[in-house]
Amino acid sequence: MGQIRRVTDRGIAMGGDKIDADALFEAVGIPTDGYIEVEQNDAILRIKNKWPLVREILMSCVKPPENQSDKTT
Amino acid sequence: MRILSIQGIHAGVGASTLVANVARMLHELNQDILVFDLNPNNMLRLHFNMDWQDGRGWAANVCEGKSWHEAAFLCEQGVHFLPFGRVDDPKYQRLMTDGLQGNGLADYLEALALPDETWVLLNVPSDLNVLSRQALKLSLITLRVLEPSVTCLAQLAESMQSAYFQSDVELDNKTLYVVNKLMLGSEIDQEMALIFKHRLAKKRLPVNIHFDEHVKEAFAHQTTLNAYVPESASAHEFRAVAVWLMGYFERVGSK
Repeated sequence: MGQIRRVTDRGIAMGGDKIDADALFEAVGIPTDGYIEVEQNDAILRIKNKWPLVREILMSCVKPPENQSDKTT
Repeated sequence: MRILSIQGIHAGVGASTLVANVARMLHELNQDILVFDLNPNNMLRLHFNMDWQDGRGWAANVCEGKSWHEAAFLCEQGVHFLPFGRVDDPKYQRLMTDGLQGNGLADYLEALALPDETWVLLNVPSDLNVLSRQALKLSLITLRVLEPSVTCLAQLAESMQSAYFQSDVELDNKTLYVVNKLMLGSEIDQEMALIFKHRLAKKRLPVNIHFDEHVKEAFAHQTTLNAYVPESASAHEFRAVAVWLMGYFERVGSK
């Protein structure tokens, strides 16, 4: 994680011109380990089954596999 | 310059509110900020305590043959602001067709000769026109604002399939999403937020902005949350978005 220059925030003591971005992120409750990948799980399936339009939209967004052959030729 | 476009996935999702609040949170974090309103609805000015009757702005000046940058002012809380101005539809159409050809917006920003570390927050309308296309091209990040609704999911699906990105890989790569107005007590809101988390994965900011009456109240006072209720939950979330953006720009660098 890089450094953030000239940063102040509520209740965070600043030491010199630079602080650790991780400390700043943690101070405001942001996970510092990046994003959480969410797998297709039961909750997603349940939501899709509950709301027909959601299911329809999500099904239309599914990308075909890269090795899928073109059957029209 | 650290150029950031903020754009609602459709009108009414709270993009202007996000611009105003994040701008003031960044300023609170000792950042130099210019907010440039590109939205002809000219509503952003009301977050910055401009009078309702005051129709001045950069686009209004361009349409009247005046100097566009003279419309800029320094808000009471230290944010520099360029309002769009009150422009009627015929003049707006002429501005889009004749007034911003070539590198219009890029030339405007270059003329300001701002220091490298200055943040430029572009309030971009949700519809794509000459001006919003220029803004998206110039920006290092485009932050698109979503509500946790099926309408936004449909709009997102449309834009991902072609209408918005038009096979522009660079634009796709620099586009990030933030969920706004998430209602804690709403089952469908929680479910749609989960769908967005699943679908957008790394392209979604790890901060959701929850629905908060204080946001409406702050606007009714023509100010932002850090001035009106600095300890509210939404103020904390806007502050978190500001901090996240600082970290992001630190990692990817400035233009």
